[in-house]
Amino acid sequence: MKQRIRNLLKIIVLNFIITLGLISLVNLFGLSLNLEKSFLFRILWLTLLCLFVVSFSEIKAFYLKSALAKKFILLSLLNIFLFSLVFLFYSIFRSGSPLIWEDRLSNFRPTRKIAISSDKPIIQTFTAKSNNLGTIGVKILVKEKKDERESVEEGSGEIRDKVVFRIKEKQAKDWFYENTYEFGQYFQSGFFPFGFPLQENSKGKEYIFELERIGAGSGRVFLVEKDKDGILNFYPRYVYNLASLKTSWQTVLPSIWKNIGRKVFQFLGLRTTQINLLFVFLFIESLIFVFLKKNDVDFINRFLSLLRYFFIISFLLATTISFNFNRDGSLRSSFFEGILYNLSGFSPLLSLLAVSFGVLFFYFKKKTLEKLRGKASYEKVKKEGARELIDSKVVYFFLFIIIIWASVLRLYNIGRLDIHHDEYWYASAIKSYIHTGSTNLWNYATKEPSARSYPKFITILVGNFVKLFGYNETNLRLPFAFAGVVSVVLLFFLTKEVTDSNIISLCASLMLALDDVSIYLSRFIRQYSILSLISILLAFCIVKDIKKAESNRIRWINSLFLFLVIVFSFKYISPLSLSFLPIYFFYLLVLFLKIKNSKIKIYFIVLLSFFLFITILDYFSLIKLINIRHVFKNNLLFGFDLQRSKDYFAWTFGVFKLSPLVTLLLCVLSSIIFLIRRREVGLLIVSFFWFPYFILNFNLYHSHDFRYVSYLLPFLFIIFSYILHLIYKIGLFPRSLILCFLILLIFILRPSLPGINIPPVTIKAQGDWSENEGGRIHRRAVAPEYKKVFFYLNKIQEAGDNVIIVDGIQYLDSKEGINYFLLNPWGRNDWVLDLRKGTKRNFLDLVANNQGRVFVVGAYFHMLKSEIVDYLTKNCRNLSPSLSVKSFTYNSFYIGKNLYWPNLFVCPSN
Amino acid sequence: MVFFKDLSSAVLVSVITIISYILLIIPLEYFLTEYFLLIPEISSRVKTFIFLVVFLVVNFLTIRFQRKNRKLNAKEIFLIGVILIMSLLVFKRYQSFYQTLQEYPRIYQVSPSWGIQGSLITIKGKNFGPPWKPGRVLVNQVELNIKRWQPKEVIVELPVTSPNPDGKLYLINDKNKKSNLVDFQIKDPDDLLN
Repeated sequence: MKQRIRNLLKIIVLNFIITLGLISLVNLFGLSLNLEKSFLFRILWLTLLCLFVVSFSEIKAFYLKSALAKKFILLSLLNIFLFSLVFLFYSIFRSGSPLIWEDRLSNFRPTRKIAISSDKPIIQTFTAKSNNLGTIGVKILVKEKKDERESVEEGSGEIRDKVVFRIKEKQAKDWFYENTYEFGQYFQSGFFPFGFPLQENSKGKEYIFELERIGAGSGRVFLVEKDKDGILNFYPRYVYNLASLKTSWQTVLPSIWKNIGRKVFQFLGLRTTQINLLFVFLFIESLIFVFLKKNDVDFINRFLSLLRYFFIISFLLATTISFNFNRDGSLRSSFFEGILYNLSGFSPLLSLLAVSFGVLFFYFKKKTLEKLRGKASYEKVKKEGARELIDSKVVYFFLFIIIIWASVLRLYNIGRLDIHHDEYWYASAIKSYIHTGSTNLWNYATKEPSARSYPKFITILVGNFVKLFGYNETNLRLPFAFAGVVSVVLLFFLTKEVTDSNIISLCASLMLALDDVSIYLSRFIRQYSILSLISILLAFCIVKDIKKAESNRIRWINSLFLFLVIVFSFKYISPLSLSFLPIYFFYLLVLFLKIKNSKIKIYFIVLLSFFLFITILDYFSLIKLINIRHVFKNNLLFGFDLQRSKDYFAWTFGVFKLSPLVTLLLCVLSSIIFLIRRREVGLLIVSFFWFPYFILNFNLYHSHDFRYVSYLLPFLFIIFSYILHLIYKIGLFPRSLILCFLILLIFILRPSLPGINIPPVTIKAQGDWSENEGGRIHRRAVAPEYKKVFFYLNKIQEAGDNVIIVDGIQYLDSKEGINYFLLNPWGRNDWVLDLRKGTKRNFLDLVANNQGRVFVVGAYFHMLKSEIVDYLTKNCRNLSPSLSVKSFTYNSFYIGKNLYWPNLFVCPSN
Repeated sequence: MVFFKDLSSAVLVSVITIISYILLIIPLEYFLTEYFLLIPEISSRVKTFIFLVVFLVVNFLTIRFQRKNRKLNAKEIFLIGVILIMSLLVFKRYQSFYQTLQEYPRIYQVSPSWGIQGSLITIKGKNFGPPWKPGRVLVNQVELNIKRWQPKEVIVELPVTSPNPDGKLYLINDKNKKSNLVDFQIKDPDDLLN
């Protein structure tokens, strides 16, 4: 009877998973069944739990019989101990040291967002729970402009950038503290700390504070969150003095103990913490189980089958969630990006759960696994190589088609756009290189290299190409486009090396060829596509080496290439060092694979040493990384509430070294590799390593910028292709080549979803992209019409004029007798830099007291100080409309409304 | 082959579940919310619950079906596929049709169902329109004074008018769409005294 119930439950669970998959597929084509997916998923987890309970006796019996029971219990206890230790330290340090207590509201659910305004201050009362109240942190959300979809309360008025904070005891007449806080241009949503003099005897007292906006602002809206009871999302912060700990520890120490207790319980009370703890604990338990079973007969094959289950399940989960995400109608409509976005958020937890249950349950499905293993084990796949879906002769024909397609997408109309945004940097350095041989940035006013240096490797590489064929937009971009196309080809060969399968390799290169992020970055004068190519090339060399290259010559060529890259990176460090991140994983693999060839081992040890060396060299402030308070405050992945950092490399490495989830991942990877005794099988697993790594990496940057992790995309495509292949192998795909490709095409060329008008694959040239399309890939993809404006300016400028350039200087033709100034839009300065003299002058002073005409030119006017823009719009004439320059509003990122794209103001002489 | 058999039957179950759900939910939703006007809407939570019930029923039926060792042949699989696509297309069409119906106001309840001069009447229903765009409420040709206008509830006051025992109350929203007619008696105050 029990067995029947168990079987019935297993069938229902499988049916339910497939049904959810089908619902998602139906959703993919815009046919919503109006079902509550979250509810369905909850039911799914519930049934899985039921299955666990029903099968518990089976699991128990298995362990009792086994001699491994004691070991398992011991390891589980160790797991609990270590877990508690990490948990304890994390909860103590997550919001400052033990001397600080932030009394955050647990499980706060915002129901309203209210703008901070001048006519109606935000008021909140609270009772201090401890002495030494010193700060109030208030969650402030920044909106670029008033969004109608947000439930902003009516009549909130115009919002400015200055906010006044006042605090007093509730019964008191006067505010004991009042101060004005300015929110800078780069202020991002989050808790803002309002500090005030320490209130030593605050315990039990009732306080009231208010927030009010004042003065002229940039048009941004600052919102606070309130729950259904009207309580603000804030925290009072109590700070204990370390000095007083020394002098009167008898009185302070109990408070600190109490504080630690509070922190632990507060953290434990969070729902995300509870879920994290449960999932990670289960995950580690599953790994212990796997570790103990490593000596079983045919363990590796069974384990590989489990991995396949895991990745199929997590892939399905990720895809399902991604469809949901797309239906929100946000800009991130790119299919792969959507999947990554969701994987980076909460679905790692789902994946952990999937693997836990996968290990526990499917392990007992021996018969099923044997059936699977019969077809899909690595040896069989290898033997079946001759029976590949695609004939090896035809495969190169398909590859040729893919290359042509990739080339068209990357090269068509490539010189159409003016040099824009960050393209300026390399364009400027290359101009300097071809004129003088220096790789410093070009001073367009003096027509000689400036004192500012720029990375040399790519400057010299592209500079020589441009020297041969001429300096123009097309030739500047061609090497990057070429790198993009070569990446597509090389990815085919890399995938083939890793998987020994033509169809997986073709799928991977096709995905890269059609991927819009890759297309965009291949058409941009920036290092990204070359970095991507180098990553693939390095991986290719390493895989070749690991697989014991046929001749020593190939190995030596590979080594030579790696050596060259290392030397170049060493000399011209910054951007290239990024491409070395993947190497670390390959290193780990090889180190633990117990390769007999000690030469290869040494060669990887050298690589790792170099990798560490660069990190230390590049980031002098390494001390920051070992500052435990800093790291625990910002880097921890529990709850996935990461903050971004500009020092992405140091950040990644810092997180890598110190955050528990990453450490956990590393342990997992290492233990898996230890278990694998055959190198070829290890190579298969290499592709799986990228999965968590990418999740982790993307998690760091998912909020805005995709380009920093774009060099990892090709490796992700290997995984996707591999998964598709596995799905095919287990019979979910029809065993027909045409149908296989049709399904792949449906995934790639799927119809647009409701609310999204952007096609999934961009088949248009970048020059034809609309504002939305560009914004999807990168917020700065829309290029200003610099040439139009600067050609006109170059023609009309005369001796005695003053020209102030905000951006687009690469099209300036400087003349004698004209003063050229630079106004940096990123700095929000009120001064301009004289490009000839190198001195600073006040902008308003220069414009108001000039002898000749003043031209002010550039696109980024919305980033300038409001006083400057106000002056120009009131006193000067904008020539851009008469030049029929298009106008453009940056409503997604920057402040306020832009004028023209770009503007050319002329102010009359006094 | 056990797994593949399980998998193919799982796919079959999911397909039949979706078809059955669509065939059930279309008439159920239309008749309950638009034809008989019994409830204003079926929430997505309730729909999910119905879906789960359908799923379980299909599961048990399929298990019984499999016990008889009856296998589907290619023609039957093709037929089921065609029915799935057809039902999905019909469902999409139905959704857009149902959406157009949501422009029309629907009255589910009028309380009280009679009134005298000056009495307040609460009308409950859906699609009445936003508070800042009130429509009109009429009993035959007599327009009632609006006291409160919400998308799902309107409170009106009966003006001074002649008694009408066979009145029909209806509502016109801001889009000038007329609702269903509901019986409403306008009584003479003197009759109440008798």
